[in-house]
Amino acid sequence: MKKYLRILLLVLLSGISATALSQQRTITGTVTSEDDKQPMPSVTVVVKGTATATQTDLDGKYSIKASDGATLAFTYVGYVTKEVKLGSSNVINVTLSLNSKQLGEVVVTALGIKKEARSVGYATGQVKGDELTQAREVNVANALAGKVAGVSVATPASGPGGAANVIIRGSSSLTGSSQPLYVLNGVPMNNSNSGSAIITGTASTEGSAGQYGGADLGDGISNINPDDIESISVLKGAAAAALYGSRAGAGVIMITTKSGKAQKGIGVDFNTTYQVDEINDFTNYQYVYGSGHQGLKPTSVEQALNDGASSWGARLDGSSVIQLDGVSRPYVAQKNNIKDFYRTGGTFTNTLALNGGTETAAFRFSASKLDNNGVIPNSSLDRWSFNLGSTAKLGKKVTANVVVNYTIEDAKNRPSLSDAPGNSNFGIAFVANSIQASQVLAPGYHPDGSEIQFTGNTFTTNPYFASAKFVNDTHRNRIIANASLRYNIFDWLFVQGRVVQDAYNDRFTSVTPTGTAYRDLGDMRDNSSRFSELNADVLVGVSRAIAKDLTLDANIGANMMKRDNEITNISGSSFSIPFLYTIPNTANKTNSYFDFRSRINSIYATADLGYRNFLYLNLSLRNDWYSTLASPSSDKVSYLYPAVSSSFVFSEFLKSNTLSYGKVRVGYAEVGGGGDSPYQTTLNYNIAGTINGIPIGQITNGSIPNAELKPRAITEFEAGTEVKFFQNRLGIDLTYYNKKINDDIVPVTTSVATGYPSAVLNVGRLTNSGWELLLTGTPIRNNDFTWNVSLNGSVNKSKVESLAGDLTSIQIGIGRTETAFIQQIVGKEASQVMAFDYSRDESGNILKGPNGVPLRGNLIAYGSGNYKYNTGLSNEFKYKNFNLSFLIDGKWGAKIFSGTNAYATGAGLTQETLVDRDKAGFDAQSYYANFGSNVSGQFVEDASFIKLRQLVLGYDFPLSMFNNKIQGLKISFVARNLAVLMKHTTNIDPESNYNNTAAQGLELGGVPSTRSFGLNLNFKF
Amino acid sequence: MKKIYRKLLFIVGAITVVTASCTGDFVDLNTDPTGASSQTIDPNLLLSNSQVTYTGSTDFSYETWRANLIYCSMMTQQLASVNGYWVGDKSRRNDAYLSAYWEKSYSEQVKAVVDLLALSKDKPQYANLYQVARIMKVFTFHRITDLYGDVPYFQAGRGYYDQVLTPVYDKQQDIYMDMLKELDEAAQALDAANGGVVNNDLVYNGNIENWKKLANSLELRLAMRLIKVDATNAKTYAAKAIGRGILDNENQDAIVFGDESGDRLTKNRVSQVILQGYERSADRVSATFVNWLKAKGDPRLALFAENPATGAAATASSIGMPNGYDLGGVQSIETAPGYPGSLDGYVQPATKTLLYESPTFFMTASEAQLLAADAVQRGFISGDAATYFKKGVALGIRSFVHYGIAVDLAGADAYANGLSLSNPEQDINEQIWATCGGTYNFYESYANWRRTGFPVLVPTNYPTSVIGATIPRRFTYPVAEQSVNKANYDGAVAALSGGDALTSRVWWDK
Repeated sequence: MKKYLRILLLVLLSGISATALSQQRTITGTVTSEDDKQPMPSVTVVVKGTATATQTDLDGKYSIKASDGATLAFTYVGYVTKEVKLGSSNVINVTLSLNSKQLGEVVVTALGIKKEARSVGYATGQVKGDELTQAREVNVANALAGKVAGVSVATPASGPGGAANVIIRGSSSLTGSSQPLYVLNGVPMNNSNSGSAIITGTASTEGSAGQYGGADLGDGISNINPDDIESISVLKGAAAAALYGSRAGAGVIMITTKSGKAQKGIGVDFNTTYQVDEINDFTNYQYVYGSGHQGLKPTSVEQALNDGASSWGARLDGSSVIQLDGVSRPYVAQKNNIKDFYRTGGTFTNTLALNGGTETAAFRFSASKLDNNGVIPNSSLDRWSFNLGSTAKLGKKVTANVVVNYTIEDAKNRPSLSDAPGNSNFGIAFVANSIQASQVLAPGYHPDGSEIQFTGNTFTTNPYFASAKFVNDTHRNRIIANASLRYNIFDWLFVQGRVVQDAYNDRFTSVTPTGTAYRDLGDMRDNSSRFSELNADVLVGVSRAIAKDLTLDANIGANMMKRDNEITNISGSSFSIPFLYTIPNTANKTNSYFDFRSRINSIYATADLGYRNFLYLNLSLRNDWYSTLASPSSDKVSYLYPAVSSSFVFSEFLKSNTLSYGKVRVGYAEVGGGGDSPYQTTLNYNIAGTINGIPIGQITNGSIPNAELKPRAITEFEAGTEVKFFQNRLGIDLTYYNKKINDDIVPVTTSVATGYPSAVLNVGRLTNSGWELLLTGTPIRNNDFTWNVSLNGSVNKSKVESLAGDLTSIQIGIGRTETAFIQQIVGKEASQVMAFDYSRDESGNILKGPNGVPLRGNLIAYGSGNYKYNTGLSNEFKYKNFNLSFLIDGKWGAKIFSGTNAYATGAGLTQETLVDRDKAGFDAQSYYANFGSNVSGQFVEDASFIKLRQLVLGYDFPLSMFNNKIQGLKISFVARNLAVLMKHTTNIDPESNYNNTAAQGLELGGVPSTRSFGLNLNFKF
Repeated sequence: MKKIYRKLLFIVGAITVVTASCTGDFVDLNTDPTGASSQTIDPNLLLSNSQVTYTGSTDFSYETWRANLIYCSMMTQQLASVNGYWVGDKSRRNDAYLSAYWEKSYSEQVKAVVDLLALSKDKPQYANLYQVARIMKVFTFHRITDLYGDVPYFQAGRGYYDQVLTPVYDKQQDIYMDMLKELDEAAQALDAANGGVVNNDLVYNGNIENWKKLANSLELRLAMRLIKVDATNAKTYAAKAIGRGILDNENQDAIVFGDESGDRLTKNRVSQVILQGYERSADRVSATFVNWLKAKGDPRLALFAENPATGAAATASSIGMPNGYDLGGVQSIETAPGYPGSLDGYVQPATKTLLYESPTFFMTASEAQLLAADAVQRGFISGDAATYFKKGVALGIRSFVHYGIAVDLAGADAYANGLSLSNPEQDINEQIWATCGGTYNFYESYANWRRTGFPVLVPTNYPTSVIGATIPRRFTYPVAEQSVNKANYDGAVAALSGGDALTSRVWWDK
């Protein structure tokens, strides 16, 4: 209040004395941005208390007339407003700083509209582009880990080219994908895991490693180059997402790519990064007993081979023992097999961006190349990305925007996960502990090219052979082109048309090479997928004051989404000419063809009402029509859903020195959905092939179809508050939400006695409720030194309220050992990790079988595979031109079934198998193998952890060093995943799920997690 | 201003109309363009599916490998393998392998045949097809229930038609009574003149008379299963079946030929498994079987077994591999008495019987005749057991013609005629064991052994066997059923004396 009084006084005084005391003079100057040191065009400059105002030009220059003693205010959306009182000088140069410390001052909301934070009635999270470009992840989504409250990001154990697992406010589907919708420049982009449809012939979004292995072929978001990202806005709840329709039910991650800015000449921005990746070896195996069986050392080559993955031998005594290659070597521990096998990986990324423009047209073009060498020998990922963003003003009223993203991605040897065949991760994990793999198993193949088997089980592929000879390559060409035209009929009325095409071609080639132990003649498949999604929409918008103190922003629009995915699979087995891997060279060939088509038509309307600057109401309504629900006998394709939210800025009434800002908000929303896959409403038949000239018909459906499918509905209530104190140096943002997923459309695992392994159903209700908290603070801020700290945390409690009909559980995943399952169970948290308990008598004693092995008891639920508590703590220190930041990330409340420990126990590698090994008459090998199989619950572990996720140390070179010839030079040392500060799992990283499906809680044969270190150099001129 | 509003109203109106009216083609759009509907599909196309999946899974012989070979052929001691995961005569425990038959039979065989029945029922043009489908259904289900006991039957495969997602486990007794009724009706309803043509029939190419005989023979097989628990029905149905006429010529053997060109979809299932290098080098003919063939002087020794190194037909000096041994594991083959120094010292299944084009046998005339012999010696029908017996043995040898082998047919007949039937029950059922084993139908070999106890087998005593030196009497239920169909699973287990164990017995195996 004092300040206002003072200004009022000033104005009054100046008014009285205007003619007498003051004199108008012309003030000039340049406005530059603090972050990139660039001149800022279009900054509004106002002489406070007067109607005099102007804007800066392309070079950031302005000129304004003002009286002595006047105050100039410089404002620009997204920047902290700066006020300067006139002194004696007629030149005032100003540097504006980004408003990032006050997260949420301006937020990007649905449809890409930037809104003042105060007007938004729901929780959002904002991440700046440069937070993603220094410490990098090949898949940009992984870089969000720990950064936004309520957003849980996990990297599956599938290597750098794998899909990310991003879950916002808990699972949004009982069995399907809970990945959020990614919206690129206002339009949805497809983020399906690639390969799912290719391999399984279903349009499911789940497709990655499962019980019998498989490779993670990556997702859609990983195609985006972080250097092109201006900002990321996370719309966590349904309220924010209602405008994007069905796919937004799991939350929306909005990505705005950089665009051209009006400036003088062509700006050049060059960024280069090199990062090295080293694996973590968390195994803590026993090295007391070596390769062998029944407590004996192998005595023949045959026995040595049989014992190649069996550490059930005698005490390691250094004696000379025959190994599987026929050579006798000392019987001693070999502790470095895992470290020796994996190599140091590396990622080299270079991005060059050009940008330029005038007041009527601007562009930005970038080209980027990423070269990644995986930690598994012979695996790599190369990615070219091109991005062109352009804007043109056609006359005074029409604006055209064109943004094109083009990606070419080549992945070589995507790692196989989970099951043993062709999976180097599996093989190397269980090599007997007295065999030096790099000596005995390498190079993996004999001179004739055939596999050097290292165990009697032919399906356990030699890791060196798998990495050297197996092929698992993907190639993708993807274009996302977005063209929009906006006609501002009046300054309060516009019409906008937009067409976006997201199209990609995928090719997947996999080869089981000639000489593979389990398939000596080899086989291969060569699959192609053509995907296309077209979004066309029309939007009419109104923005005006409709009464005194009352403003209205309203939109009405329609959208058509058309999706087509055509897939051709060709497979062949038995290569006629050995080592020649082409389909024509196979003796037996099969092929299949799929064509998945779907469409969603929508109309929607929104209205945002604002009363003065403290009360806001957002309303939206959308109707979708889903082709995926259409069937000849049912007409439930349409769904209408509303959203309403409101915010009240109470600080307008409580002005105080401590409280700088305070707001409460509340919202309710629904999102409908039509399911992911077409053709689920009718039974369909096709031809599988012919036998001796006679055609074999078959039912196409893998799941029981359902003509009565109806739309899925997610409803969500949320309420929250944001308060800031001490000139915004301390901020608290707290949100409560309650999200219900009703009638989810999912393939439910059924008893196969139905004829089908699953049935497509509208299934029950899943709820997620929880709290999100964001604390931001600036404990120190002075000219040279700033310390910013941000702590986010969330707790999500999920519950399966009901399932279809009288079902009390559905199975969504199964471990390779077939002794662990992931199920949805009524009354429990989502994704329960199930395993077998001990069998006990009435007084609780463990029952044992004839060999003393504890018997198998009931299948029981050990807890959710999803984390319940997520936190992230980031600290950022700036001292002069140095900056140092680090991020600690912790999660609690999830369980994981360790397939690695189950197999390692069977192989005699775990510490637990040391007990009683030497006891007379005790068959430890059979005992532990059967014990592990009977009581699989012993391998369910607490997956909680705290990790030092990221560290960045940067130096911004003063431009004066270069005589101001350049616009910026910054060098940073970066590190990702430096250390595990806390974990409870043995032998594995707690974050080792091998896929990003709903079936969280299964681990086996994954790529070890890595630590990365690198340097980043950014150069602008 | 008004003009603008009107324009806007028009735009909005147009959008709404266009959007809403665009749903007209949604039903078409949501129909898979790469297939046919139940209205347009020719149900005959599913008959070939039902038959080819009954030979084994299209998923690389999934259950043939695990159930027929790894378990049944080891338990009946007709093959032997040093591959440690051939657990049927070793540890005897592998939950996943024991689930294999259930998983693949229901999801492939049952799925196809139940749909075929639904599509052909009550349609005059498909009357014969419908009867053939009923027979295929019995083939499919009797093997499932023989392996597991009480299993889903009446509601099985009806997930789509009835939306029953947790099918009830029916009593094996009820299943058998229904199957016998089905066969009885089907055999009588088949009508070559008026029932319509059966297409895509891999077994008999639409020959209705053969189907009648096959229905009767299968009815005889099922009737004879009941001897320990329901002698009355056993007798009644056996007599009816034999009375109407059973298979009596090797050309009536119910077989389906493999086809190399379609890869795993069409290759002979057993061949596909055993011809893999690491199987071919480890899988041999069992000593039990070789010794029996040698003792009988049976010509099938030379037809079924060969020297692995030379490919020469087995002779009286050949030896089979003993069951219950591995290679370099807890009971290594080198320690077996009489170990010939290498695995090639043991005979292997003959290459000529293991082509990708080789036939898979559903049922042979030999088995039908031998079952009739058993029916006679039990007094179910009148007649001369020895006549049926000799015919059955001769046909068992003659069946090898289907492998493309030039069988000495006269010699086969002469050999059979030279046999005497001194211990009828034992002799007859040992021959059924030989006939089924010689045609890789170890499922049936195992079922008949459980029914009769012949041949008398000495169980292996592998150190890690979970049930000691005992041959299992059934397969345990899939672990998955405990989670997806728990109530029904629990009910079925409660009805098993001994629980869901390998040593518990199915209803007819009292």
